[in-house]
Amino acid sequence: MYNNDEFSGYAKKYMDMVFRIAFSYLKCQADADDVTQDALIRLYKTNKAFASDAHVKNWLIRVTVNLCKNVFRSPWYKNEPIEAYANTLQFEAQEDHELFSVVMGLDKKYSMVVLLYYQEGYSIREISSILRIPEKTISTRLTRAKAKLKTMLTEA
Amino acid sequence: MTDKELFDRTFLKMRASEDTLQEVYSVIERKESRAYSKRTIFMAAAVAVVMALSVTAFAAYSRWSPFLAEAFRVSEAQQSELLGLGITSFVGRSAESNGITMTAEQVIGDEYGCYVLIRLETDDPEVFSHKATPRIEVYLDDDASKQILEKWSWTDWMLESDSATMYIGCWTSGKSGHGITVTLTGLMGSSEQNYSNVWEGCANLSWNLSFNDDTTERYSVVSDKNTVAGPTIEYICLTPVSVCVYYDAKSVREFMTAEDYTLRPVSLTLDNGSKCDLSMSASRSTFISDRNDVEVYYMVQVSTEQLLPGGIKEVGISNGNEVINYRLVEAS
Repeated sequence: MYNNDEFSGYAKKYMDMVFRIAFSYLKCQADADDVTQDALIRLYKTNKAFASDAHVKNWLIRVTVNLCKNVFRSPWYKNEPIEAYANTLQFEAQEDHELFSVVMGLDKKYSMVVLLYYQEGYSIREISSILRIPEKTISTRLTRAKAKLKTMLTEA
Repeated sequence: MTDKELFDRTFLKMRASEDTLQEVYSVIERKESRAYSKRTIFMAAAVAVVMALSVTAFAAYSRWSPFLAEAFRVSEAQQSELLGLGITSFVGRSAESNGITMTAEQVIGDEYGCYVLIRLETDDPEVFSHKATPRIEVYLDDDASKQILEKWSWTDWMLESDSATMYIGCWTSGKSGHGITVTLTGLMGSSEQNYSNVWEGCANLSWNLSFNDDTTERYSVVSDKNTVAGPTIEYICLTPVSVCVYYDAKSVREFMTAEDYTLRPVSLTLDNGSKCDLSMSASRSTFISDRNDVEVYYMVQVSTEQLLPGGIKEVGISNGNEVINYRLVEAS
């Protein structure tokens, strides 16, 4: 278990990332906020010995995905229109708004891989290891996501 | 601008709520295990009302498994409809053995067979470690005998720091069952708990689907060309979860095995003009009652909404050289 200063440092550093990943899975701001809180609480309580910051980050992503799966299975789960949340974000350019809508409009299995690859900068091998999904599957999802994004952004 | 810069500019706008950390500290101070979500608080307030409406509460509890809903592409609107037709039922019975709990979650099927979704849970994540590649055997006790079930797909693994869940989907040609035995070989056991690498759980998890014949629509077909050789489609049966193609093989000169029929590519032309191939891997069974009478059954490949009357216009079948289209003409 961390002391408060250590925990606070990690929490501030990673909570927005956790939120983004949760939102890409659940497409619901309230549920993504709940998952973010739960993931941070798990980080505070864990006795796991982390080797590095990267290890903490990877562990948090894994826990976030698992928590999202639990929420997704809940009888009360319901996703919400992405645009309602997008309109609160005040993007600098219209293309940013379009990119957000298109990426978050993808199925969760695609949007999460896209975020981890492009935004968090993970390689296919690293995403495979974090999500515990075969590399080939991740690679296929990324290729399909790119094709979908290309089509959708051209149409937008 | 690079992709990374564009993504940063767009997605770094997404931030967790400002009160997230405050809520987390509050939970930590209260020494609770998790935060109460806004949804949970709302639900607690609504509990008194829900208790009074026990039927509604049961309906919500008996929610479709997301895995089955996705596999059969059943929309939310259709879930209660299929439940009402007796196509699916929620089993929800559990049994425990050696620290692993097995639950038969949900069954879905029609006159051709049924799919059972089994959940295995353990508090020791090492048992289902991703490094392990357990061999799974699932047996079903029916009235007469014990039959091995065909594993239809891995639906998911869920590994957490303090628990692990594994889902197994199985297919059986029977409509009912009384007990399931699952044997896992090649588990990764943690040294502290001394797990055997073989786990066997057996439970009385009975179910019985109660659909009636109205759920099966039988269609006559008309082909777009005359064939000189090869089997022709005699009629087609659609249910909300399957397509069964009945062949007339009188004109077949050479003997065709069950596999020969299964390997023939079949496609559906939907109401909206789009096409959907029924993959041979999704063919669940082929019955050859005699040389002239053959039926091949496929797990549904399109949305169940499209399998409703009028949803499918044509069925195309390739005999290796050409595709012959059969128009669905009437339901009987």
